[in-house]
Amino acid sequence: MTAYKRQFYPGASSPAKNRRKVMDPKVKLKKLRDVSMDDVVRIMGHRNPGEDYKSIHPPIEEGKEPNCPIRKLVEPIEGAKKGDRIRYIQFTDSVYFAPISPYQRAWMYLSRYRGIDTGTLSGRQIIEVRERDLEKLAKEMIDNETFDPALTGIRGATVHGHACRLDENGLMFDAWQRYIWDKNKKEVVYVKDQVAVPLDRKISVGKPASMADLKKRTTIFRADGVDMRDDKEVTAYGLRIHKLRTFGGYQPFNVKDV
Amino acid sequence: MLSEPTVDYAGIPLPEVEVFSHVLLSAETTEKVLNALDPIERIRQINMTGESVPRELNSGPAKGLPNNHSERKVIKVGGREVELRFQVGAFYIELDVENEEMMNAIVEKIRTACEATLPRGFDLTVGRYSKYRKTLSDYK
Amino acid sequence: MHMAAKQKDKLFMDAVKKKFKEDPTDMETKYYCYGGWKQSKSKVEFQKSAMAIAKKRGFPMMNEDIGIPLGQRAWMPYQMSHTDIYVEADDLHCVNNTAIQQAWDDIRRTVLVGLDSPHGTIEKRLGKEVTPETINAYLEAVNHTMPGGAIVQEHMAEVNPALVWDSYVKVYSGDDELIDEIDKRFVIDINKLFPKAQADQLKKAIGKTLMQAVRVPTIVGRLMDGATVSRHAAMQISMAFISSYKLAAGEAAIADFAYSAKHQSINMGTMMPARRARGPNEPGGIPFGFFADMIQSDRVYPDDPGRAVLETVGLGAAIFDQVYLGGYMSGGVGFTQYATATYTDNILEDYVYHAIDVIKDKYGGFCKLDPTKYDELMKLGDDVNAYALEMYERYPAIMETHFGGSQRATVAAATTGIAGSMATGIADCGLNMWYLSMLQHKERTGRLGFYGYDLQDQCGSANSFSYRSDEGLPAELRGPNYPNYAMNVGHLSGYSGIAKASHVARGDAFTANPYIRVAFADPSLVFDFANITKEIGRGGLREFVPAGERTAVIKG
Repeated sequence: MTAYKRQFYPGASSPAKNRRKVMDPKVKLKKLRDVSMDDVVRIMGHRNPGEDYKSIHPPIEEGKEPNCPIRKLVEPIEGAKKGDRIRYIQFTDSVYFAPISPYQRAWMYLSRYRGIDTGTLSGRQIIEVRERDLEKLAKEMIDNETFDPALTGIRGATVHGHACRLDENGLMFDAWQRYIWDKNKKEVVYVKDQVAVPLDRKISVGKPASMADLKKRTTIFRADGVDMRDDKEVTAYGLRIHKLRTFGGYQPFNVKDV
Repeated sequence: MLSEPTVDYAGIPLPEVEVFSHVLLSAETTEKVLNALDPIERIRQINMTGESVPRELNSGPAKGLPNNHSERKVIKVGGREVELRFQVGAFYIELDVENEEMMNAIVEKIRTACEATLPRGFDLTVGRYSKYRKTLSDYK
Repeated sequence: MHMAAKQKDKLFMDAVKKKFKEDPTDMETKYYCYGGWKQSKSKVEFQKSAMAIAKKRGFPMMNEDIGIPLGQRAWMPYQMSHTDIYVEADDLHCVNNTAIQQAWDDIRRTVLVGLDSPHGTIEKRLGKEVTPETINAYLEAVNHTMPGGAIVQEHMAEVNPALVWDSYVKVYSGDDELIDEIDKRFVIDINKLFPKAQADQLKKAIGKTLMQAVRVPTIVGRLMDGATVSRHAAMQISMAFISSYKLAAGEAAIADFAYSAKHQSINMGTMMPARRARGPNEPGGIPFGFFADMIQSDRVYPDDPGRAVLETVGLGAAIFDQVYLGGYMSGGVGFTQYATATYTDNILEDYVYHAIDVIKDKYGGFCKLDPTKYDELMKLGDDVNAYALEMYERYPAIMETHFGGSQRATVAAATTGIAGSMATGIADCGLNMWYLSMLQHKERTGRLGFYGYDLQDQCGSANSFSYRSDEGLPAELRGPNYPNYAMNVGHLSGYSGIAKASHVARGDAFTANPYIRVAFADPSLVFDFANITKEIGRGGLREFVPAGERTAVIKG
């Protein structure tokens, strides 16, 4: 086998390139909107803007930590230093060409952030972090190109919708209608926080992208977009992993040319 | 889920027309479709399916608050008020017809009505999609 | 992005097939199938008599004052795959559905007890002769004792026959001459019940052994537990021997009958470890191969191997996902919606029949793919899996029916696994393809099931071929109790189908155990193991009549 240049994800197709982009921490993701930090805090609903962070243990600087070599080795994130609660943001990503999908979110978070705990399901993807660090991360994720106002939902509960047809305005279904379509401005506006507590004021997250644009930006392979089978390297990579695992567990002596 | 049919089960699989919208419909569009279907004769019943929209939030920190979902509202069909509980995605129109010719004629009328009211597109097929006999759920 | 593609050719859209009565007196069968009304108008016939019946039943006609009656539902009722029965999700809950309950009851209450060993005791130790006449006398006796009749001692309390009408004992053997001499009422007739090719294989495998299929009363399994079944059988068998061979009850040799019945018998569920907190003969202990042998579709419909596999998956979902994982292990309302994805709406049906076409068109037919050509196998898996996933992408109706990623993952992987099994004739190849599907699905869509669901699928490639203990087993001998399979819903149904698929493709008469295969061909069973989805559908329609009911002894 010829020397293979290490990369974050294989493939030459657009979903493959987009995966590579979101996973590579050296690539700065495009910022498409600027939702204020206070509004991000409001949408998440864990605290009111300006309110102090609640803490669950004294600041680490107070020196009450046990004498532990691992603790000495690992630099705590800011929220951990201060003893913040661990809070979450959860996104629902539509199957209809959302910019990103759950596994890519997990891989992206893990390659870009420290001190996180992320969980992946078919429709929703949660990330749990110390509160002040979460807020920074959440703002980045709402502002950047992995978010689309119509096809990405910020939903702490009742997340159903990823597999549903879109509505007449192109929005992903939400039984709790946390966000609505502003006909005049042609923007998506949050009227409830992520668990559907009504917001004091509407928060615009901007205009949805066109379907043509989303098809270029998405990390999702689809038969009516870019089919995974049309990306030879991605297909070969998946089959190779399966084959290596299969033979590794059965006839490791027959695993050659790796 | 509503298990009771709007009229008695026929006991035999009468033909049904499925109109499967390409998008989930607003209450306004649903109202237009139903009113376009309303004058068509030989329709025994129409069942609508879609995504459930609760009147009140049913879980989480906001449990019990009104949902205020814009598409859960009362529409007027043939002068009668109907409270929508779903964001509608498909219509199942059961026909009371006696032969294929009669069926085809009505199916064409349904298609015309849908073409006029569903500009975002739909698929129309004829078949049997729903219960025509009682099941356990009807005996609660 | 709105898939306007025509859906008419797809089998799952047969849920949508036009169906009309042919004979109005026959309410169950004979429908005209009419796929895509435009294409097959000629097949459509409106039966005037059927319509007349409908009219007589009093359809409300159009009422101008009221307008069209409108109904609303969150989603459509389920069509039981390959039937014309429509039911609701609640109708398929295992606590509501008596057919699902009886399927498990019939499995649990079955214990197979050989007669060779007790006959040896009678002849060699007690010096008495065993002849067809004595066997017939014994069978009369045991069919009295098994439901709960007293036979030896006086003043014994007996069971009310109305509670235990489902209990009996029948015998079968590969020895046609012996069977010819046994009272037909007590015989499971292999020659009559199985197509000749299957009967020959089964008789050869069973040989001269005379096997009893013992059916303990449903109510006994319900009142006690799975482990009771062999005990109940052993006690009543011993009593029948004592009576029919005129033995002295106190003799030490009598213990041999009980011993052989308890310890040389075949329970349907193997032993489970204590950490699962379940005894022997419970659903978690049923190996996939045993389970596949219970399914009788390939006996009754031998020309439709796809149906046999799908029926196996269907009952696997009901017993393993709904009853075992949803009830025994998880508790709570269970996993109905999840499990039913594999046996309703003809979606898995469409994928599996497509896979069979691919195997026949591109891989030379069943069992023609050389499993040592692993890249070929992967190519098949890739082809079949891509089709299944593509259907979800092209048809929003299918995506919304299987609205959860775990449903889609199960159905796509079951299809791919079944294809691997049928193409090679080796169930482990099928199992390996299941995992190929899972890895590709995750890679393609960027999503799969939920974390707990995905775990076993992400590490399964590595154990799919391994036979070493603690690392693997042949697929037929794995079961819900196999280490990685013990906790995650939505997998066991597919694995059962994969085990079945390799053997129906080979034309085998059985998957793992010929005795179990024959025992479940018995027409006296309450649940019909040749028509799984139909039986479960009948449960939903309130037409299924289960056993073990207590109404006979309740003042009503």
